[in-house]
This record gives sequence, structure tokens and C-alpha cells, in this order.
Amino acid sequence: MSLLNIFNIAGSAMTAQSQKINVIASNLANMDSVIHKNGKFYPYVAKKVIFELDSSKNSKIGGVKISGIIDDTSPMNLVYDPNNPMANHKGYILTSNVNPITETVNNISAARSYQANIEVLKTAKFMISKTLTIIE
Amino acid sequence: MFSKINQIFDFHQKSLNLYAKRQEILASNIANADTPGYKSVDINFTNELNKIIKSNIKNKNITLKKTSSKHLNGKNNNFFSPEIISVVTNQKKPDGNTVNMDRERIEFLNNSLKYQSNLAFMKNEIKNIMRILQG
Repeated sequence: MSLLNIFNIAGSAMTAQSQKINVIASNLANMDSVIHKNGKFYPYVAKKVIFELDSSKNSKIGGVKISGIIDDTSPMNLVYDPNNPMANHKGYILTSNVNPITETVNNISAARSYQANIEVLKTAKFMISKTLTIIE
Repeated sequence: MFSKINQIFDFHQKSLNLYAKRQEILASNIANADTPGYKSVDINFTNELNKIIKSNIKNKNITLKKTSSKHLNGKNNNFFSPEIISVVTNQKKPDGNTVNMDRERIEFLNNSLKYQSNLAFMKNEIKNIMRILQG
């Protein structure tokens, strides 16, 4: 039944969007974090979520799935902070490439998409319960 | 007499099915509003409904496997797969997504109301039949 499929479609989109918000929260939280790897310190690299259409075979429609979480390729920020123990001989340190403005905007966008899918779910639920009333 | 009743409900059943299918397609468009490369799709409702009304022939693709001559034949005239077409929008995001959220939401609401009105007509017909049966 087509109406029941809507639950799967909207549900998968909601899962994907909340995963995106999760990653955004992680990016904002780790803005000033440092990663210690192989005896060296690296600044935290922003992560990005990539969505993909989750369709059954030879169908153009379907839900959403996350095809992967990739590193943001934008360049690291160079900040002048000579008192920092990690600063190079010119007094600069590398900091994370997380852009708080971009993250905030993406967060709002993901939250709105989540809400849109809730509305879809509500409508589908209403239609199904309305359909069931004809047998009364 | 019951075949007459069947005939009345047949049309409603088919159009409700088509509305439900369209609702699913629109839900998919809304769900994939952020998916890179997703193309907004829809069906041509008038054409599909015409096609369904005209083709009263049972779908030949679905046949039940029979192991005895007394088995009944499979009957499936609800099965249909509407032709899904891409929607032409002026909305073109850099990632190749063509979903126009405003259009999708309006169509979603519109389709839902049409479904409900169809349901109301059907309910009315049931009420009429009941009234006649009860005398």
C-alpha cells in the first residue's frame, strides 16, 4: 500500500537529517579540539554528511540514506598565537577549518527539513485513519 | 446487483490508489530535498487515470503458479505502475537537485485533500446503499 510506504520514506529522511544535525553538533563542539595521531598534533577537520537516494531497483523514488561522512576540504585556519606551545617559529598555529556560520546555517536547514518530513508523516497518518473510517 | 455495487466502487478504488501513489511520490520528493543529484518526479494524473479506466483487462504479468487444475486464477486489476516523469522546474541547485520545496508541499496538501474528498464521495455512496437496503 502506497500510503504505508510514506512512513518508510519520511522516516528514512528524518533519520538522515538527524544524523546530519549530529555531525554538525560534533563539528561545533570540536571547533578548538586537537587530534593526537602518530605522535603529532593535528587540528580537528570538519565533517560533512552526503545524502543519497535509497531506491529499490528500477524505481525513481525512495527514501534517503547516508552514503558517507567525508572530511571538509576547505583549508585550515592559521591563527597568530605566539604564546601557544604548538605555535611554529613565526608564532602561528593551525586551527580547525570548522566555520561556525556555515554549521549554524546547515543546522537550521536540516532542522527545517526534519520538520517538513514530520508534516508529511502527519498527513499520511491522517489520510490512513480517515480511510479506515469508511468501514465504520 | 452486487456487480453494480462493485462497479460503483471500482472507480473510487482505482482513483484512491492513484492518489495514494502520487502522495508517495510527493513524499519522496520532500524527503530527498537535500539529496545531491535527485530529480523531482511526478505523474500525469489525468493520463494515468484514463489509462486505468480504459484498461479493464487483467494484468497479464502477474500469474499464480498452479499445481492443481482446481486452483483459482489469480485476479489482479489493482496492480498498476504509473509512468513517473521528471518535473521541469526553474529551481536548480549547484548539487543538481531540482526539488522545489514550495511546489512539493502545495501539491502534497492538494493531493491529500483530493484523496479525502474522493473518500467522502465513496462514504456517501455507501450511506445511500445502506439506506436503500434498510428500506
